[in-house]
Formats: sequence, C-alpha cells, structure tokens
Amino acid sequence: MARVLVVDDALFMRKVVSDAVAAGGHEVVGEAANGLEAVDRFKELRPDVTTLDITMPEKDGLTALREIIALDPGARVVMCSALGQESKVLEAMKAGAKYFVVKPFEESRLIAAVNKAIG
Amino acid sequence: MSSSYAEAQLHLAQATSRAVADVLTGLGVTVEVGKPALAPRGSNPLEILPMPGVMSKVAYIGGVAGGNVIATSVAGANVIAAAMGAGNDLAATELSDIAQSAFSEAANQMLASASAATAAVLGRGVEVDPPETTVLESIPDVNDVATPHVTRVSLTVAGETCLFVQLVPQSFVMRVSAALEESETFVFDDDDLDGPMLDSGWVHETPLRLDAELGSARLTADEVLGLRDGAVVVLDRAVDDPVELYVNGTPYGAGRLLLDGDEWAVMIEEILPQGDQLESEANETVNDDRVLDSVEESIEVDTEGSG
Repeated sequence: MARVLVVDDALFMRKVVSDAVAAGGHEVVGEAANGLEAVDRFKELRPDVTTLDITMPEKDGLTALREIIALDPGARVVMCSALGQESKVLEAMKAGAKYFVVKPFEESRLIAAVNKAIG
Repeated sequence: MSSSYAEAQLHLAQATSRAVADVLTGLGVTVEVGKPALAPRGSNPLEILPMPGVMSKVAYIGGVAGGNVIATSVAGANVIAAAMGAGNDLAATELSDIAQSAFSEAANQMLASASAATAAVLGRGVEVDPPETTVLESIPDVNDVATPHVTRVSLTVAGETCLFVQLVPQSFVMRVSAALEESETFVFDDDDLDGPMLDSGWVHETPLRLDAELGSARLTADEVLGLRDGAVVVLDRAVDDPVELYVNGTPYGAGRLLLDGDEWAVMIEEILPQGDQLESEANETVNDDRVLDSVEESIEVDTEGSG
C-alpha cells in the first residue's frame, strides 16, 4: 500500500482520483489544490506517490513537479492532465514524472499508474 | 469587416465547436451543434443564455489577446456534471459544489480540446490560462476591446442551451484569412456566405502526397526518451512484407519496394476501393495544407492586436 498525495485544483477531480487511489488499496494522505500547496504538502508528508494535475492556478503542475524532484530526485509522480495537453508528456517525463494519465481516465488506469510508480 | 475575415472566423469556429462537441459526446451526452455565427459588434454573445447559468472561460497567454468561453444554464451544467459522474441531482435548480467542480472539469476538457483545434487550424501552438468557472445570476459581458472578432456556436446539450463563444484575436483572423484568400477553393458549408466555391475542374491538378510506410513500432515515452544514437528499433514488418501506401495520410493501397537506379521506388500491388476518396483528398489538401502554408508566410506581417 502506498501513501498518496493527490493534487488537482478541481474538487471533483480530487474526489475522483482519491476514490480511485483508495479503490486500488492505497491511502490518500493528503490533498492539494494548486502547485504551491502541492510542494508544501510534499515537504510535510513525503508521500510514496504524488498525483499531479498540470493546469492549476498559483503554480502549474510542471513547475511543482520540478520543485518536488529538486526536493527528492527519487519522488514518484504520476501526472494527470486534460485532453489536448499530451504535448506536455515528454516535458513532464524529462522533468522526472514516472507516469502520465490523460483525463478523462478509467479508474483502473490510474490505479495501474500508481502501482507501477511504486513498482 | 471583409468577407474573408468573416470566413476565417467561421472556419475557426466550426473546427473548434466540433472539438467541443466531441468531448461532450465522449461523456455520453446528446449534442446538437448549431451553425457558427458572428456576433455583431457591440452585441453580447451570451444574450440568449438562460439564467441562472454557469460560465467557464480561458484566456490566451503569450502576448495574445482573446480566449474561449463555454456557458450554459444551471440545468445544462447539472446534465454535464452528471455525465462526468458527480452523482448530482439532475432536477436541482442550483449547482452543488461537487457539480460545479465536475462541470468545471468538463469545461476544462472542452476548452483544452478547442485550444488544440485552434492550434491545428493555425498551424502553431496555442497556450491558455487555467479556466475560471463562475456561477451567473445575470448575463455577463464577455466582450473585450482587444478582441473585436467574436463568434458564437449554440450547442444543444440534452435539450439545454450551451454556448461556445470565441473572442478571436486579430492576429488569428489575419492568419486564417490570408490563408483562405490564397486558397481559391475554400468551401464553407454555410449557404449564407459568398466564399469562393469548389470548381471540380482544378481538383485533378491538385498535388497530393503519397507515403510508403515500411513499418512502425510502439514505444513508451520512457523508451523514446531512452533512445540514443545507434539504438535499433525493430519494426512490425518482415523484410518481404508489402509496404502500405497512404495518400495525404489516408490508406490507399500496398506495394513492393524496388530500387530504381539509386532511388527507392514502389511497385503497386493493390489499390484499396476509393470511391471519391481522391477528390476528397484534393479538397482536404486545399482546405488544410495550402491554408497552413500561407498562414506561415503571413506571420511576418502579422501585428498582434492591430485591429
């Protein structure tokens, strides 16, 4: 079981991702609604896996990803993004993300990504 | 406004509204897409929106004015939220927090898809701010003095009115307009427009691109990132398999690779049933490739916000 931090600016998506993470047998240890909160919560919680939305206010997901990787080069981050942002895949992977899930996604795909991240 | 500017806006509105409708259809919602319309200067493109309503909008970034708006009634937002799986009450006359968030997420996907369609029409990337979603008690004024070009498409979503409004920057209009003027064959499926229409005679002179595909491979992003000089990627074809032929990206037949002197050649072995495919490809070529080529040429004289 992994301790997971869920980051998304949308309350609905945090619920969707948290439900999927729990259904996969993992524990949601915290949530964040923007990139700034994400980095703070990561420092505080040191989760096994972080799911990270890309388009968020305050600080976007790619910037937060780079800061999280700078804090912990071994951080396991699963990026979640909307349709039309597939071009961000390589940018995120180069920055250190482990997996990428495009919304809308099946619950099983997100669970599989979290499972692979903790490998 | 010149008719070419009008055609350019409507061309863009048609492509992007289809992208928005595709997202809704993907959610399992019934959607009817109306014809794009230009909003007269000084009018409010949301004036027909039933109240109370909900609106999500994104603004272009990177020094580009304008943006896109999705707006619907509360009833329409509840339909979309339910399709997203919010578990909300369809009969509710207000939006719950979770329903508003679910609608916002759906709007995010629609607006992202619209931005991707815009980028495809322009032939360049388009970046937008994160969307803002607002519950409306009265019709807002979304007009922006920096973007005098406004289009509106009415979508009927499970019987509810949903409006897709584009605040189109002058630079976008100039790019698409210049491209369409360069193409003498642009066809817009709106009888009200006086655009140049298709003359079937020239179609047969239209250059098409034929590609021969040796094979392909599917790699993960990790594997692609790990490729280095000298790496070998095995393709999914044996050396004696036929190569597949594509005309402007559409499957057209198969053949065998030959050497013609120092150059590769293909001996055709099979032509797929095409019907009017070739003529269709010719139309696509003019409506897309030439358009985008001339768009690129027009960039140098494009002045942001000059209109």
